[in-house]
Amino acid sequence: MSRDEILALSCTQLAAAIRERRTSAVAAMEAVLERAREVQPKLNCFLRIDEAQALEAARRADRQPARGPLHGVPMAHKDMYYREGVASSCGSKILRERPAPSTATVLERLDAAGAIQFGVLNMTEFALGPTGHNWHYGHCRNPWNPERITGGSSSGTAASIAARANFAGLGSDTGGSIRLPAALCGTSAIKPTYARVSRAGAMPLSHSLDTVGPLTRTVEDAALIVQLIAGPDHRDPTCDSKAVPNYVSGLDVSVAGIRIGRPRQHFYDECEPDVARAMEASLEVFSRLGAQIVEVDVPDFAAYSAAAVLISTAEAATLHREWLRKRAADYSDQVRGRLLQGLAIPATAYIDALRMRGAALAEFCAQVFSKVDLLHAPVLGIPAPTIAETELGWSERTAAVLARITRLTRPGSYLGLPTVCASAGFTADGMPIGLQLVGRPFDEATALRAGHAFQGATEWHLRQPAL
Amino acid sequence: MNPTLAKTLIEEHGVQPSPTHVEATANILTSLFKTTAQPFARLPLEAEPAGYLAEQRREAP
Repeated sequence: MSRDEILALSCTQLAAAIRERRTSAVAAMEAVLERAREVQPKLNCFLRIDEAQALEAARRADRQPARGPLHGVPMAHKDMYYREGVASSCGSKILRERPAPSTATVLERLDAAGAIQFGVLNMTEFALGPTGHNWHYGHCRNPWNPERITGGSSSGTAASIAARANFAGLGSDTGGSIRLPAALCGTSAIKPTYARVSRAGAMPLSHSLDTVGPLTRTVEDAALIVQLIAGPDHRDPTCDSKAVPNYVSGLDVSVAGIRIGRPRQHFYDECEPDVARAMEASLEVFSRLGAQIVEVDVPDFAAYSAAAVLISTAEAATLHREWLRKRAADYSDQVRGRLLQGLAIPATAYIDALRMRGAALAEFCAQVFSKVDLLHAPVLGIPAPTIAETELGWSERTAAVLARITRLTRPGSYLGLPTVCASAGFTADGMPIGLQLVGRPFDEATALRAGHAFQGATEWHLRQPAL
Repeated sequence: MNPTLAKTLIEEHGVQPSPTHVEATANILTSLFKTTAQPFARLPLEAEPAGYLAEQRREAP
């Protein structure tokens, strides 16, 4: 296979090609390393590439029998998943040289499946921000237009996958950090249910909201990877003990009869015509596939979002308090400002925000999931902001700009619902438009099945940016 | 929340905020408290944080 043929493959396809000896782990690694070197000066999506080590691991993989379903597949992840003894910067200046205390459970599971990590990816400092900006290592650039934001905080993961310089990678999501960059860079992704995937060995930001999940080229890849990383873990006491269903084997079951909800309220407020058109067109695709499209009323989620901000900011400020005291100058202004705000949140407001969460989930499920199996909506209703528009110090105005970006993702974080993202078209100026399919708690399977069916009927996910 | 209180609360943690950050904190938190005031006031006595995990399991397929 040629380099370009290899780089065009999804994880699932590449793993099959290696297994069937149509290509090798070394050829795949050489191809992705060369592509990474090509795009790095334009996109700044990698924080480190471990070339020699990755090639050696690929040579070993070619000599060994297949270890698992990702045998020989190169992957790079957001730089917040620890490998014992290796520094994980978490996009920060503060942790730049701290050796990680242990290896993340999700990395151990991907290693066991045969994946080979070849580098770590740019991200928002401490995963705190939806633009993807990083003032310490330089901003990551959107492969579809370098003047526009990538979305964050998993900026490098999305940009590298869209640029065909990575086959798949882990992101993390506390308020939209997987879904936003996936939508803005045109990749697929899944934010699993809160507590579905272990967070042991992943940098914490907000214990009540943090979720680990993959960004990928296809929904099929997202199903495979979440299948491998989900499930109980004694190292993460919050991780649910429920057995993980076989997401991959369920992908090809028809979506005929599935009820897909189109929200009557809130999700289409402030929505750009290009985005609304793409959403309508995607609903027509689902309709042609036999799904039933149902208009649904959704609760006003402004209070959910506000409660989510109270929780995430208070928890993040608690984790960062010592560094805010001693190393305040080592934070970027935007991140420091957001963290400081958490120090002034009264315990009563924080606890009420947690107390309301069960009732909010019950309300949402009663109103939405009693009528439909999935909620369909845009990830962002607004056009991708430019870097210049979001290159701001911390102020009330900045908070308002960022809140517009996370408006349609933060409620899903508060409710902890599983969400599959897929590209659903492009704006007139060539930027990807992302849709989200939101399922009931622990029903990743239905959202993955619908996303996979959508990609079987469309080709948006196959488009590549001209770089 | 007024800026003086915001500054005091942040300084209680031994952190020195800039005037811009103090003002932003006061305005942003005021807005968040306003948005959540009614739903928080309506919470029943028995509502507790762990209620979320129970609800999550109840709603699972």
